Amino acid sequence: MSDRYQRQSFLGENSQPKIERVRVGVVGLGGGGSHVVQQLAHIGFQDYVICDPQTVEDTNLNRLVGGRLKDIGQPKLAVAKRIVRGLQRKAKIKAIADRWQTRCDEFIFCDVIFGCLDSFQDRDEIETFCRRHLIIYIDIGMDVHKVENDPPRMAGQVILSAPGGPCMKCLGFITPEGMAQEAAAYGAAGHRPQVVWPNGILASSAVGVAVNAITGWTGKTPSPVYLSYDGNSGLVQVHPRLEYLLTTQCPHYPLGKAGKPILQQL
Amino acid sequence: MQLTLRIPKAVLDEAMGDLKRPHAFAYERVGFFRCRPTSDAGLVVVSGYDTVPDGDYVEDPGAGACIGATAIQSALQRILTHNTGQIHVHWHEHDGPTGPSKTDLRDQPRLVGSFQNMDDTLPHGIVILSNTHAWGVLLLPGKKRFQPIKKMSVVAGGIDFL
Amino acid sequence: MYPADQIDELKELCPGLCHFEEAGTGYLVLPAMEMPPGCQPAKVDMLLCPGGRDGYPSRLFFSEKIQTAKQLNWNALNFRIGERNWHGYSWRTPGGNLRLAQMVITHLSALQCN
Repeated sequence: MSDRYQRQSFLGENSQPKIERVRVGVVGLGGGGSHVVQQLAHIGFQDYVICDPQTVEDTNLNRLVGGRLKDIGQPKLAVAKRIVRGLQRKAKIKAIADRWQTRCDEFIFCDVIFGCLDSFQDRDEIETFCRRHLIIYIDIGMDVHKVENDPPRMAGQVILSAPGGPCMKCLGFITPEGMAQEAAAYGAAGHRPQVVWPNGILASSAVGVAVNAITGWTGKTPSPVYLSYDGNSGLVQVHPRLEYLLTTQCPHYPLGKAGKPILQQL
Repeated sequence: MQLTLRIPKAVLDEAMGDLKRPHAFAYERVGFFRCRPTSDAGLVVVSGYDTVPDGDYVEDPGAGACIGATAIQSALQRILTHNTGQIHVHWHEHDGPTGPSKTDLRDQPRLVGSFQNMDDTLPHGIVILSNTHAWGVLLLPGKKRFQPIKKMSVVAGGIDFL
Repeated sequence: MYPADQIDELKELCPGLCHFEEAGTGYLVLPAMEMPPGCQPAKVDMLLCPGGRDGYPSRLFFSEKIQTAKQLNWNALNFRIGERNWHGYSWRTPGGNLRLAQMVITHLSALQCN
């Protein structure tokens, strides 16, 4: 093991080669994704597929990790690539300046995909993609809700969705009502509140979840993982919903339906 | 091409639980992974496992395991009924890298060829498991030659590479 | 799955009709369907979700975004379903039990310029 990683040798004897063997996807390189990419690079990941169609704006710089004033007008991809290259000169980086749906073939060989996305629709689709291809999906997100006569409420989540295990629908995170509301508000969503520190907490937790999934260093690799973040109190805890899961096997994505859809001629 | 096979841990556990069971006369047990193609020929995913019932083995002192016509017929039927490829799988009882015996190389490719004749739009193949590693080859849709599986991963809440 | 007579009726519109399921939702694929006059492209694949999704009682998607004189709210662009990308406009079919073929025709009526 390189000297650089000696302090993380507690992750296990073969942890570093395993980490280096994994192809990791990061969809969305904004407030959450930029944190994730930075941490993955520090830990030693060598094979990246990263994706974001957007360019850096001044309003991103309150939270875009690695972003500088000079980056305004540049692709967010460029910031992410710079972070990775600054730590991992030999890393393979596939950079996609488009929505992931238009280049999903690039993600097929990922072992883990981080979704740092804004919409339930995007999350639903990428989870479906991951289930078809037996890829571990890790979702992060945060939101700030205005409450009348009270301070705003900040909340976030980290979810690990793995083949065979409960999905984000099973966890009640993606619901038909939520998808319908989102579809109805299409185009009127406006700018969601976003700040750097909850993104950092959530991204760090997500990366920790991923490293455990890859190295098994805690002795357990649970599925699902559902962490909820209360931004007002600062508490990250296992979501209470896990206690009430009706099944440990996902009825939405049965393992028997992995792979290409089976088209039945009628 | 870096041919990759992904296996859900639940399916692998089911397979290992089955393959490790003793048989009255067969030295080794055989089973079949169901597999599905994805939109990239280089990735095949396992979607299930089927045991070979005890009565479908044929006593053959020259082979670790010999399955009969019924077992083969069942595999061919699964291709049609479930639209899944078939991967012949068995287990070598040791740690470390593993590979095919002369008998494996003699018999199994022909069997897999018959799977491809049944449906050549699906991948079919051979996997041999040890306690810690695996070896495998696949006949991909439209191809006549077996391709070595370069990356085999077992996926659940964690990832293991075989 | 779906009533046989409705499938037969829909097959008259689209002989190549196929079905698949994804995440517990059923979809019907209608390949190479002709679009109403004035639409470009003139022929596309369509994807019908008869059971509804995204808050719609039924939804029709297209393999390409259709160019037409009608102003439509294309609020589904590059939706990934069944390992393909699909596009759809906002169009609410009336309540009640529409037959499958009626669903398709009702959705397509949004493209027609009268």
